[in-house]
Amino acid sequence: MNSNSIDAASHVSSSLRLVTIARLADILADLQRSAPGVVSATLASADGLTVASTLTNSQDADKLSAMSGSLSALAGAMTREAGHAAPERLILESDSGHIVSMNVPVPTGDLVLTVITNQSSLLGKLLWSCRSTADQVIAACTHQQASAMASSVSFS
Amino acid sequence: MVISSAVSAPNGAFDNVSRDLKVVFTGPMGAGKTTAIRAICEGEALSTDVPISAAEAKVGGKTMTTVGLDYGECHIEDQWVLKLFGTPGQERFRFMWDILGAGAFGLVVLADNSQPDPVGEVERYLSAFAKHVPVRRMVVGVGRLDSHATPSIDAYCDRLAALGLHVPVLEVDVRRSADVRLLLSVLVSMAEVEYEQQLH
Repeated sequence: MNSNSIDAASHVSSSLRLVTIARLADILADLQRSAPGVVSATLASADGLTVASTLTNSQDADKLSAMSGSLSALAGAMTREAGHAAPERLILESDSGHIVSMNVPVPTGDLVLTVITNQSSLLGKLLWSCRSTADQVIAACTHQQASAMASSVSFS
Repeated sequence: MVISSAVSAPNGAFDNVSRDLKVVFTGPMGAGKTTAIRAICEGEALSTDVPISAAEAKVGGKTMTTVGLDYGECHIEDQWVLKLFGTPGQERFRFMWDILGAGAFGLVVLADNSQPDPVGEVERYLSAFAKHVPVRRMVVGVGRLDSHATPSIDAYCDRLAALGLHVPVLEVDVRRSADVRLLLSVLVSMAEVEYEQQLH
């Protein structure tokens, strides 16, 4: 799965290092394993490029990433229009399951985490798992930033 | 409370009441779709632009890109209310093209003459929207002709005509509302001709 995720991420933001992207792919795989009903988990940049995904077909991941970017921006425009704060997440419910899309602010720019489930997922548990995954993603990207700064200090 | 004066008829046709025209702005990233709508919009335009990822090939000094839609409104010749929708430019947002293209009366394709093969790009967008908007209600606005003189407006017309796409092609500076207004006036005059024909 890792090789697929990194493959899908071949055109990703160069500001995220490959080692970080591999770590993000592991975090997504953990979510898929631990939360019931999760069919796929995908991380995209705010402008809709795939960062990492548990989807094995990179075309599917890329399509989903673009749509995640659009939905996230539209949700932001809507809450702005209503005078609300930035939306934390978007929940789509249908007879087939849930789709949760969360904004994940990281130092290199906002990411969007999109998780698709089947009917067996429980919304409360799912939201909790997504939150915890988002926190792990933030930690991984912040760690990259911190180590990059440390190495630039040591070189100067 | 706001009640719509008329619900848009399907296929961009008009009914007898509505003078609302839905117009879609499209074209490659960096052509100035968001800028054009902001230039002409009465009141504040709605935008969904986000910072461009490091991986995306940047166009000029552009740092933000539309990923959802732009929206604004303007009046032309008092009687027409134009609802302006801007699309994202990148191919990966094609699904938004179909969402926004549905029910559109007219299409404005913006070109950036500083990009490689701008005519080919225009053709790509004209074809992508052909299932929503008839070719007779499409116009092309070419930007950055002052710094990039080729291809010329004539070259655009010739190449598009050879493909059966007989659409007006105008030079435009999307930052100038007068230029954008001219593009829309061309569309509106097409609307008026059709409107007259429907009455008779």
